[in-house]
Amino acid sequence: MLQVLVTSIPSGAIIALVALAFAFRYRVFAFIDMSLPVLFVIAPYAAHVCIHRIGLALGIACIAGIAVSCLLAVFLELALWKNLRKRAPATVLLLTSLGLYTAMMAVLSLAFGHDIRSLLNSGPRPTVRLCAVAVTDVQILIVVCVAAIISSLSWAHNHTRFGAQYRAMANSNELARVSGIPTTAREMLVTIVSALLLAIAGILNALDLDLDLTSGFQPFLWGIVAAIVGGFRSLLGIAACSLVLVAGLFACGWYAGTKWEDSILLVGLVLTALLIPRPDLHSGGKGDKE
Amino acid sequence: MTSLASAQSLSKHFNGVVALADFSCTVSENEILGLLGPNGAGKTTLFNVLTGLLAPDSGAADFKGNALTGRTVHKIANLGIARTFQNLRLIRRITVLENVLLCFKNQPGENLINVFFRPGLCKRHEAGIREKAEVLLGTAALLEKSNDLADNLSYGQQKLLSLVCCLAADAELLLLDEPVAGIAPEMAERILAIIADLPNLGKSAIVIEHDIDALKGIAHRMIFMDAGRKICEGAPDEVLNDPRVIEAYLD
Amino acid sequence: MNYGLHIMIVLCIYMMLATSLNLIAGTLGVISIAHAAFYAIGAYTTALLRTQGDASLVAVLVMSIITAGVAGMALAIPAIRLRNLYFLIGTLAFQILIQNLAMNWTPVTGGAIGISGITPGSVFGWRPDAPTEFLLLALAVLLGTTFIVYLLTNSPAGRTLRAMREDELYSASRGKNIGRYKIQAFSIACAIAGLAGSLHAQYTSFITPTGFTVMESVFILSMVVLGGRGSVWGALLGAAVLVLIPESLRFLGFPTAIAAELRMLLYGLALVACMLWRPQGLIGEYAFGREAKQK
Repeated sequence: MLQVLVTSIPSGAIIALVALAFAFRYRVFAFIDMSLPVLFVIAPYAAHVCIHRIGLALGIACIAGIAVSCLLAVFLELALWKNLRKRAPATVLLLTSLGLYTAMMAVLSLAFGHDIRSLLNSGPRPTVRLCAVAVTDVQILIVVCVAAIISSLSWAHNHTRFGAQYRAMANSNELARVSGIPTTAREMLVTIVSALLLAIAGILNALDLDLDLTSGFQPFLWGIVAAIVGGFRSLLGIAACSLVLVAGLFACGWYAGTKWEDSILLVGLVLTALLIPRPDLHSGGKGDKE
Repeated sequence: MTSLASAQSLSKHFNGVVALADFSCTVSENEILGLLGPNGAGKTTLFNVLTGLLAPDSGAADFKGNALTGRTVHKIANLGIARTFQNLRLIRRITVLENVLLCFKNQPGENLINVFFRPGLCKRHEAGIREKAEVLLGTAALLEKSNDLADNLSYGQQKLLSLVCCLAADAELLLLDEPVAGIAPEMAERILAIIADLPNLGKSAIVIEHDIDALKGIAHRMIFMDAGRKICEGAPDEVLNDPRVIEAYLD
Repeated sequence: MNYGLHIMIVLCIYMMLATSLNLIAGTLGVISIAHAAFYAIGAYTTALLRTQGDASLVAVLVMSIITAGVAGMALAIPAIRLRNLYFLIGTLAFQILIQNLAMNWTPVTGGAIGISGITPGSVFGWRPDAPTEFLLLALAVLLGTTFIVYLLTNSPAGRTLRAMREDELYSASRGKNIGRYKIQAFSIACAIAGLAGSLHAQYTSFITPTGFTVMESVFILSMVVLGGRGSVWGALLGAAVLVLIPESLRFLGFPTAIAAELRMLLYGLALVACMLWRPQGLIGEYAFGREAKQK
């Protein structure tokens, strides 16, 4: 059991990145972007191509993969989202993102097929024993990386000028623009940062587990849940929530069977939504009344 | 005159801003009560509390003996209260006629069992309310616009339409939030005439307005509010000549 | 000839799915991506009834309607309090939950293998075994459900649903019980989806979880959006376009696996294109909500 809980930490860390990326975007763009899983998945696939077709070293390939993901995000922002966000309501944006997800996943499917690949050479990874629990070096890497990323992100959010501008935009885009914040540039920054988070999460995930096309959706789902339950405002809150959530899920999975993890998550989400009063979720909330 | 609705010691505050402070008032049957006061005085908040959109921090309100506080919005509407909104809410993408038809109460066609199993009843009722709607639109001189989208009406016509909708709902108490603000005099006259006629139809109204002359012409009684409190109350002349009211408007 | 019949039957089923989803996503204006889950509930109910006993056609159809409708009600009752975007997540959650159950609850649903050997039920001795007979059944059911949806959409209840779509608060202030309307509309739409699932199970004779995924829900939603939200004819048209046009890919000679992916690519692009250039769909009655004025 302790092993299960400790193993849940790296997975929770990855979910934390995804949740943060989602929350980061959602606070400024105000719609659920269902095409984000593609950014998560495309980074390790690109890295895989770099390793096996181009022959780059692992580290460089990973960076290349991250770059590909970011480029895709920037491209989509410039070609599509920037203009669409100005004139379309959240529903249209959501549907567009669904269409994008379907189309892009189809392209990836055609390009890569459905077989499972790995980024690292197969075979057991060197493990370290920490108080009767075994962790692989990859898992340690994940936890360290994510901790570093989250703390620097949190610091930037709370203590830098960019962070203040971001918070202003998250509060009200209109007001921010009117007060002279270069919103378009900052939106691009948000796009890039969230793409980075997703890409890094994807790569780390692929280092730990195997890689296949469907591996993007589940973390995205868990990430959204963590972001919703954790509340959007506090970055550390979301991170903490992700860890707790995943630990809880793994524990439940250990008892009930891992295939039930998603269901438990969702039932848990539904119960939370029902039992804990969260006025921002309910209709007739602040947006609706005069 | 018998009391139709009353508010007792309503208090409401948002984040430290006092919207209502121990506010009480009564509306009688067949009476028009004018509600006056500077912006932010709490007039719309009062309407929101009475119609169930907001729960007061303390105090109570009732209508024909039924408690209003704690009741849901639609149940309050079905008790016989109809309101207009300061920012003019209407269903813009349907026609004028459909807007009015929407407001009739107890339509059998809104019940699914009737839709599928008693289509004749639904059709007859629909024809009936259509006639009534056309009569109402006729008295408001909006009949030619019946099949236009509500969005295509002028601002004044839209305000008139929202009043017609309140009439269609056959409410005994109308809460009208700035019914003639920002519209041309001829249209304002039309609207005021309809409001003034309400007591003859057995209805009462509470009217919020900034246009004092307009209000003076139709209200039987007035209340002046400021910062959530009732400052003074009485016949229009009394209130309008009250030094506190004059002071507030001269500021 | 058989291929033509096959396509017609598939089209009937998807038309039922599209018109029922249109009731929620179009007339009521609330997007749901759980429709495939109710499709699945109807299909699995039928599969179990037909393989564990020889339930009659009528019994199977009725039970599928009931299970899917009740499930719809069970989802709607808590979920309607949520604001539209969170409602969507709620439907997503439900969809995935049902998918998981289908995939993992092996003793009942057969797990990944699914249930096979589903033969159509019979009524008064008539069993729609042949494709032509099944097409008759499918058409009859399609006509019936479309008529129901049409009746509902054009009734005062439909008028109220549309009003709620535009301004829920205002509708409540006019005395409309928002919760009741949403639950009723949702339950009926889900019941029809279950009925479609029943037909699907009896026609294709085997069902697996892969036919009832989130992507399937998105596919059905695309039909509604493409055809035009809020319009019954629009939903029918959208279903026709999205079922028939990709079928033509077959005739271009792509191997099946690639054709399947190409089809998904087309759907995705069609949805994006539709959102970019014609959000009201081909013959829809409105573009998108009041939120359009926001930004």
